[in-house]
Amino acid sequence: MYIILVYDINTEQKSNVANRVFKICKKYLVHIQNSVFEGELNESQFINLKNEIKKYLRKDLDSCIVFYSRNEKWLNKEFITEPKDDTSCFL
Amino acid sequence: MKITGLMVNYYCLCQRKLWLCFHKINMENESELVNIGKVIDESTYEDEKHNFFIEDLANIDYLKNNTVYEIKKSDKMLESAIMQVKYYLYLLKERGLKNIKGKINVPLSKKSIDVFLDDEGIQEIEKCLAEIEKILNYKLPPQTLESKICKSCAYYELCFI
Amino acid sequence: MQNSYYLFSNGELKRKDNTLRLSTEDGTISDIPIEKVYDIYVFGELNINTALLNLLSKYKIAVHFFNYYEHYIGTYYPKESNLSGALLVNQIQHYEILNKRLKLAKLFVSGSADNILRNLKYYNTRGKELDNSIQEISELMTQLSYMDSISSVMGIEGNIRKNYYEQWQIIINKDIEFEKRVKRPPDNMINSLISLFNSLLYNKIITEIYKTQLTPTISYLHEPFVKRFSLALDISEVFKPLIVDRFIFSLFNKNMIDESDFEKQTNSLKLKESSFKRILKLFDDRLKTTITHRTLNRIVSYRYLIRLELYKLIKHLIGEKEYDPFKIWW
Repeated sequence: MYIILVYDINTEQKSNVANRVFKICKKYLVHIQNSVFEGELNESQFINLKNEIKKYLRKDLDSCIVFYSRNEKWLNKEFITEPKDDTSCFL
Repeated sequence: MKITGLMVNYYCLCQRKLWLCFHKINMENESELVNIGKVIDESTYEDEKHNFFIEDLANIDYLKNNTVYEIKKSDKMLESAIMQVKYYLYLLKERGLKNIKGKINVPLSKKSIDVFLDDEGIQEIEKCLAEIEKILNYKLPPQTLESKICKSCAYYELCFI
Repeated sequence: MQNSYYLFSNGELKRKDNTLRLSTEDGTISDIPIEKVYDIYVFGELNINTALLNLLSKYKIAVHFFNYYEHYIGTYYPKESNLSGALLVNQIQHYEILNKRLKLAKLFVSGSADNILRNLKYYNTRGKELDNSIQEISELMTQLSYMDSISSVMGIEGNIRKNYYEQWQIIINKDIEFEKRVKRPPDNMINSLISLFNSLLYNKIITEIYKTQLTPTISYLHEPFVKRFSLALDISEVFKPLIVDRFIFSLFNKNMIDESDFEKQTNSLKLKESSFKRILKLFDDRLKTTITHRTLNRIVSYRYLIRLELYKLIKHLIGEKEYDPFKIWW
């Protein structure tokens, strides 16, 4: 499935949640903007990712939302500013 | 020959899988369905599990109040799980631990099954162990099962290509 | 869902926050999600360290390295986790017993020839005059069963390929002088593309072998002493017609490549970097092409066809089912 993951981590209370969640997301998805990740995952990878970040996310303070579609082609993407292909495998 | 709990389970499930696995032709990790099962399994019962090992023969999910607990994620293949637990009880009995019960929990379907090892069960296990030994000595792997369960098995491609 | 990653930049590839980070000389930083990496192809000048190799081993990711001339130089092949002593014994037996070895060697050649014929027939029905070649190659195939040494099987293989390559000028709608295969160094566009993509196919196969219990150095058609993962060479014979040859035909016939994509080296031709990236992307897409497998009744990619071929070989080696080489069926 093709995934866009966005989060908001409360930083008023000192913690390393933001850092932890960021690092975990980077293992599975491409970081495209502040607190926004994108990429294609298997269901098992998706479950793993959720399990890993759930350990750190605080239900009452943080927010994390995942948008997904079965396939990348059912999701339109448009750059209003300069287009950039961060998800390329040719680097 | 060392026979593990998993081998007893496979014997009841699919003798071909038992043979291939013993010959280290492993396919786990290759099937997405198996992977999903594994991650759900790992994450759902994390807090409950206190794995208990009998040498390198058995990996018991946890042991509490004289009861061996085995957690299964579905009640589809209970028969093989029952044999597996009976084998654990058998191993414990061999090591002098008597009056141990077994319990299989299937939290997702809220099922709980008690397993006992009586004389008949002991005979059953011993027959099964002899059979396993025989199968593992076959030169060729046993035939494919051609059953409904094959479709979700990690060995599907290897068996049916 | 995992991808092959192709790295062209110069700089450093390292482990950062338990994933991969590529920092290039010009200062750009790309984090690569490790969970999504199938294998890695390195074309640039990269610094690496053991912390990185550690991470790659943990995720069982093979890395293939190429030099400035786009020539393959080696693979980082992480510690084997799939070892089967029983299978290894069988692999060796099939090498040592000449009849068994001959059988497999012939199967690789006939598999290759079947797919070559498939390509020739395809273009024959599209108005290319290839009848003679089809007949000659079919004839060579029938001789195969009489061969009683590996070198004579190799000889037939060589003759089939030679005949086939001679037809490429007819298949390709371009005026390129291409009469024979020249390897070191490749002297024209076609030879240079054949070298490049044969070698990429070889690496793709190494990655797949790594994911099975097969030992890559024991082979049947090619001699295991060629200092390479020669089993990958055996398997590649069967897949070259589908994955490499057809790809090169379509590059030319659909005008996706011409002289301007190449730069001249002292005595060879090399793809320019921008063209190389573009064409590699097409090649990667090709490996992701899917078809419905007739026997399995499942959707599989070309890349996965290679894996299935290895499963068939495993079944042959353990004596369960005779190897039936992959044939293009569409």
